Amino acid sequence: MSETEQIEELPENFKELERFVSAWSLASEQERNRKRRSSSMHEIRRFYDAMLQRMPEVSKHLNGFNLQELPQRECRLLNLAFSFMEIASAVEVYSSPDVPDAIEAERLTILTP
Amino acid sequence: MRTDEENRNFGTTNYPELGIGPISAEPYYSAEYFEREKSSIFSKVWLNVCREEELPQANDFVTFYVPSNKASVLIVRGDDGKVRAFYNLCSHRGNKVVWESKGSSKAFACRYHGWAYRSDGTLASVPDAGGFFELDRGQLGLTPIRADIWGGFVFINFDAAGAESLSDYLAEVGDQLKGFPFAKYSAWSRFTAELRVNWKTAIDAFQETYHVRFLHKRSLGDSLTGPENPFCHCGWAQVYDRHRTMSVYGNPKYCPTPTEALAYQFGPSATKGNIGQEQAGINPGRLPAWAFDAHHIFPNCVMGISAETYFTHQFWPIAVDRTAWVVTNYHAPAMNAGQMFNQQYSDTQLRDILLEDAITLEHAQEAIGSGGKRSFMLHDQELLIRHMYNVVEGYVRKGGNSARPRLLHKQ
Repeated sequence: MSETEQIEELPENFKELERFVSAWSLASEQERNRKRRSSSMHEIRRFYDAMLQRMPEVSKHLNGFNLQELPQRECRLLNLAFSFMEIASAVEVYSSPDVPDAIEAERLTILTP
Repeated sequence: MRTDEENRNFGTTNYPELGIGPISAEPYYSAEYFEREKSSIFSKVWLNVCREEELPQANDFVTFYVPSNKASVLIVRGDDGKVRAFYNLCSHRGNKVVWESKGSSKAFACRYHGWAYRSDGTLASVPDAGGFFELDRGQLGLTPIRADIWGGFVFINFDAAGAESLSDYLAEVGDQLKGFPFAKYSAWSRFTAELRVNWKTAIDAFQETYHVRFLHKRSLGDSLTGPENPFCHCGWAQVYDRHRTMSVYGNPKYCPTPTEALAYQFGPSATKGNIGQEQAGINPGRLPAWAFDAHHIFPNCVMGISAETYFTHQFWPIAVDRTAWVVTNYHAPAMNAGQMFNQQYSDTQLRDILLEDAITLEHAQEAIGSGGKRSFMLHDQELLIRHMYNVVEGYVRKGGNSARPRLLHKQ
């Protein structure tokens, strides 16, 4: 499989974020938290820097859609933005992928309806 | 500089019956005391279990395990719309009737021998019934557990002979919360964990903000403390017959992080002071610098209520040093992606912060268990802990409540 085929597509204006899709566009909060904890700060920082500056446009773009009828590409972008919300505190608050001096998040079962 | 006296104006001394001395450490590690709590509290009083919105339609159900009472509980909405609770236990030979944690079903058939029950708990059918002796179908429905609803919260009470209604039980804390539109925040996110703590060790951490500056120095230090309130003193609190409320200070000059600021554009936040709210059910002291209210609905529920959002903890005691923990963050259903970002950020922030609490509580429990300290010191700001200690003592030692109600303090 060529590299291009592995990359999953995002909406037109967000092509430069496609390199993060396979790692970070995850459908559940539990998966996103697991990804955060298994990533290095270097990896998190690259994702954070790329996303932070695009988030206002990401919000604006996705706010134009009905959440019940999100096309595939928008859905990928939404999950990517959710991962950004998950990792933001690793950069802005903790300077560490996981919360320092805390119980291991692995002990939590995260449920969303 | 505030004087010591000003720093001790929270209200402890308004309650001479609660004392000002150290409290005993025994209730936090004694297995014998824990057994008495199970029989005198968890088997006697109303327990907060879920939201009504988790079973919106007739025949919707949830099940869960209450370890203190070794009971699998079935909560189900009948065809008549009424929410009922039952022991999830077959009348034939005791199998757990419903194995799913949630769903919708008009009838529940036991997988062992096929006995079937309706959603109102009555016995619907018994296979090969002719072989039983004196089969009194009217007496063989699921065993009910008392259940009632307040403000959309479902409560159960294992004391079949108990006479106190749920609204009498909640009394003043119910009045306090009246008007807060809980049902509006019907979207939720939840996590569960088992903590190696006594249930009171856990709840105590959510009844004081003395720890914020230290334990949460990375996450909340700047938003819930400030130059005018370096130790996160609560500006308002009230203790009730069995329950308690405090209002947590929010630093109005707090500068949010870039992502917080982004998330706040689309919705509320539990840590950014939502200043001067006039909404019903929140900020009862009308504090100008307010972040959220924390209510302890005795014995198993803590609610954190902010403007336009709230969260709950449920604590389910398993053993003297083990507690099942359920945290649910409630939001108004998101209408667009921005609101979803706000909620996702709020969920993550709450989870991160509570993980900081959880490790400390486990370390505390581990140390307490040594019995090396026979008593603990309580700050004036830890009045709510002192009050709960007395309420628990009242149940355990006297089989009832000895703590006394009413007013505390308004700043």
